[in-house]
Amino acid sequence: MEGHSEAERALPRGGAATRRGGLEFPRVDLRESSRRAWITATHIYGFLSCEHAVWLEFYGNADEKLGAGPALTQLLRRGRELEDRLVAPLGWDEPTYAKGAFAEGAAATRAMLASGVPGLRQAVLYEHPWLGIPDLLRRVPGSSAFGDFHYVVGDVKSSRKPRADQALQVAFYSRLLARLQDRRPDHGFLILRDGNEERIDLDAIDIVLDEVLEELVELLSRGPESERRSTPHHTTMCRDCGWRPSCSAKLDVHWVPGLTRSVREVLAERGFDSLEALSLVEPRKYAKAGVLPEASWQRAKQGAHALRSGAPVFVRKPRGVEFQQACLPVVVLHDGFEARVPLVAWLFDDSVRFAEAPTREDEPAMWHEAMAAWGKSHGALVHSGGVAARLYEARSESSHPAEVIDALERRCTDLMSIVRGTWIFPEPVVLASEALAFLEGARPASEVDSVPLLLEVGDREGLRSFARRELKALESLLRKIEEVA
Amino acid sequence: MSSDVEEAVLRERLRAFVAHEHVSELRGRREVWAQCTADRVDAGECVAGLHHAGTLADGTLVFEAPEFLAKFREGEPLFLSDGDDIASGIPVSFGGFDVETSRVSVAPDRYEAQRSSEGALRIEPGVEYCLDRRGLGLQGLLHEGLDSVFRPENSDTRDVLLGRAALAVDADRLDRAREHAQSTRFTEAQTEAFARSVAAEGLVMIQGPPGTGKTRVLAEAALMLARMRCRIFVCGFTHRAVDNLLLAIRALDARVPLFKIGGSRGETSDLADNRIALVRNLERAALPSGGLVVGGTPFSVRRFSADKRFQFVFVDEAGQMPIVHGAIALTAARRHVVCGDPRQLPPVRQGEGRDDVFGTSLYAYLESVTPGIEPILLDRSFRLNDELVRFVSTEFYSSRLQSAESAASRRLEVRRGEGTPLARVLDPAVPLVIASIDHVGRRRRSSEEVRCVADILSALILDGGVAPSEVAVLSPFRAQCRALRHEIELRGLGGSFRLGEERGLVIDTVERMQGQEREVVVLSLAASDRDALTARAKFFYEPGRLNVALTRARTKCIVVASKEVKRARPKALEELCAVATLKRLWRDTEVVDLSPHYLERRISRRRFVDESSEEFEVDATR
Repeated sequence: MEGHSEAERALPRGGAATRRGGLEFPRVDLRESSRRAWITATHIYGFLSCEHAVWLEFYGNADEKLGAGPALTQLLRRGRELEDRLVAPLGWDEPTYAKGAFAEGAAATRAMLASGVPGLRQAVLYEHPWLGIPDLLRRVPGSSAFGDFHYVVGDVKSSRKPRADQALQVAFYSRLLARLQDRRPDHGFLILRDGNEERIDLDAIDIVLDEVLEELVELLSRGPESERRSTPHHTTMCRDCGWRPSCSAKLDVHWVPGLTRSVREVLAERGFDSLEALSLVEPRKYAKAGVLPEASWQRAKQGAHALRSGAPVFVRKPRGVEFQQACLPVVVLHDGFEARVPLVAWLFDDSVRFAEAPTREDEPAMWHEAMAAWGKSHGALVHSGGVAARLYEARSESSHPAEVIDALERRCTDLMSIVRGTWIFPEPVVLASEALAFLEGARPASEVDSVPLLLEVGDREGLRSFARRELKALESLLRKIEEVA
Repeated sequence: MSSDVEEAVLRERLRAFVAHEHVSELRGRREVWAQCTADRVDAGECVAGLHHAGTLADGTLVFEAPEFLAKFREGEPLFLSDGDDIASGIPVSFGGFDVETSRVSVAPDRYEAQRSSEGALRIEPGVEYCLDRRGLGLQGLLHEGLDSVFRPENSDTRDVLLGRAALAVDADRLDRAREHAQSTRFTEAQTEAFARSVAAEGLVMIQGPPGTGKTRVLAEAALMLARMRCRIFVCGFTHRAVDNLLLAIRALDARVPLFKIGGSRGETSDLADNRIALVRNLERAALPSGGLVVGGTPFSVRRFSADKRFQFVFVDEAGQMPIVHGAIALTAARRHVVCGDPRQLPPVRQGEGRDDVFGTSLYAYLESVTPGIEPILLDRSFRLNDELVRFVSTEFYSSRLQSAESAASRRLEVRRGEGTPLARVLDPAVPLVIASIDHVGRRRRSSEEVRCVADILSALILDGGVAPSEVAVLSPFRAQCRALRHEIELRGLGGSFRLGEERGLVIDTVERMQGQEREVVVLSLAASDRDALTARAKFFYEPGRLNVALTRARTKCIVVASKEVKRARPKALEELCAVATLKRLWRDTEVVDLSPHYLERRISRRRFVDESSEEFEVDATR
């Protein structure tokens, strides 16, 4: 393990504060084979998304992990830039310490807090093996070990609404802080994308943090030699995970698409832990035993078949698309971080039409042009997700009457949700081009264009190419749906 | 921002909200219709396999239904179709399902049928039909009502909605009301709420937690004002709420003129028996001069003309009433008494994530825009005993709610068998208890909980001597309710429990019990698939639903659940906080582990594939 020094063992372990509720950390028993010495908020954050990825961070083979792709790198960079932009005006200092010397950083933090600074950036809160580096500590009235004041934790986030994992992160930092200052803060805060501050009531979620910490510790106590090893859970989040090659190599019940974790646990417990076993189940017969309903057995069997064959499995006839009137495939490219829609495209008479907004100020005119064109057709506006929401966002800026926009919204049909209801795919699919690749017996491209990346570098042709590909895929999917309808 | 601009913005936002709700409802219905019939049936959205059994003299169509799992309510608009082309089906309204004969009845919607296209499906014998939801189609009514809100004579309503309402009272009426309250045995908070309602010259807000007597407070206030020759409109989100209030007024005074606008067929006989006159159309009704009380839902005043205005409007159930409906209700008068509880079930919404401001209830909205008007909290529950009130008071009412003296020490009177697995669960000394069964992977129905609840009911009613009319079984899921009813019928206990009778055992969803109470409530949570729970967290963990479920009982509340319900990890912070509430309930309540008695026996794969059918059958049975 890295850096477990005498200085770290000499760190304070909390005073009277630890004897009150909601201040304890569970005992940790990291295996010798662990690659990491500290448990951080990133691990807690990640634990809520995928327990197995966190386990791999400690016990996986680092050589098997892929580095962050360009899209993730961009997202992280944008997050740091946002943080700097929102926090810089505060003029708060950071503790100074050698890179990786967190004990030194913790000591420097303690000294600065004791001196009563109005606030601190990137403070180091460290009680081995628990390590937290919150974006902000803000001084507020109320006595503590430091005097007649104490501190509360804040973190900067690029989302527009507060999320549960973000709040738990703040709660984790707050617990470390409570042990340091001998006073439990009653709240923390998040600074969101638009600069607004969201107050986090720690009393409301402390009970969840307790449970998460206990489960995390229990997970990490299971090293690679443990019989009860951690297992992955296959979702769309896996697409961006660096441990994907390590997980996908093990084709077992945990990688079968379309099953919940609870169903997988039940199946694995009862001996259905291989694809072969699942492919032999008899759903109607097994449902009579009352263990799982017939629909769950059916999904398990179909999912196993899809995974084994690497090809989509037909589940049911598609509904929700009417072919009496010609459908209009529509693509809206969206950069969620910047809340930008740089391009809208649609397929009309085999010809791709574009409306573009090189700058944010150009977006109202782009929407006006697109909506005017769509209004001339009458069938469903088929898309691969989110178009109705974008129409709503464009509502206030559009010069079209509300009734026109409402009518367009009513015509929006998410073709990908219909596709996902018609077939079970061997992997989660998001884009129409991915689903089409599977249906045509190919595998989707491993690197998918990222709209934010293309937008940032001003690659107009790249954006058009992305949209063109999706439109053609939507049109082809329509044909495939029509074939099986 | 100028007043005109403010009002214009408000109007546009309310209209946009109504339009979006309508679009969302249409989209949601289309998504349901896109599912195959089996999935729609399983979700409670459809009844399939119907065979025409006959047509009654009044045109009601009767069908034989091999299975009825739907969530339909009486009067709900439906389509009768072949299940494929639903939109081309015959528009009907749901009449009911007879459990004994397994027959469904529907009434053709002649008005809608005239508007529909040519070539509608004809009823033919031997053909299988389906019933699917059609949608309420309220958009037109709501827009009509909004037009009324923005008419010149309704500026008071707009003032209230824009946070310009004042807390003004008439001092003389206030004194008279306080004096009168001394004869009513009201608590201090009830006296204040009563007096301010009578004295209102602007907006008065009353928060009425469960069992705190708000109906009585409103009834007394309405009666006192009527005796002062005032005209009062009492409004609720449901006909039942309005009827309850009118009946409460009648119970206080046999002579005050009372009127009810509208209502469904089955609900009006009680009113007629109590000399509450039914009015079909308020515009054309000849109301007497002098003091009177008229009750109705918001739609009954949507086209109200100014010259028929009332002096007061009492809006009940404002915590469940959507803002648009509430705004329409407020146009009935210039003095507004708004009563509700934002900690119970909120309004049902179709769309999400759009104008969240108008997605809340009338009560919650007014509470936020009029910070200068402090709601009066009715702080004594005459329903909940001291143990049952404890958790909900801490979680939902900042520890301000207490059990009234008359209720605090009440305990369930039941004959108990000792030494049984359920003994501690049924112990009256433990008013709130969790019966834990560690099943996994259940989405909406748990056979383990069904068996447990049926045993609890047998112990309570058959062995314990508790009347069936004093017991209710609630669940978040209709599928679980149906499974429970089926189990009771299977055990031959339907008659003993008087299932389906007016004064019998109730098994229903939490929503249907709001406003009601029983001596004992059993809450079966049924779900145990944490991914499914996470996906449905907004519904399942809605704090208002938990509050309502826990506060229906007077002396005993038994929660039957798997500990998996604590394991959901939703992404939204609000939902995580709701999960945390359930975790605290589990932590602070006595938990009795019934898993050894009710958990499915461990069936391994080896036994599934075993060629011996006999062994398989043995494993599959209890």
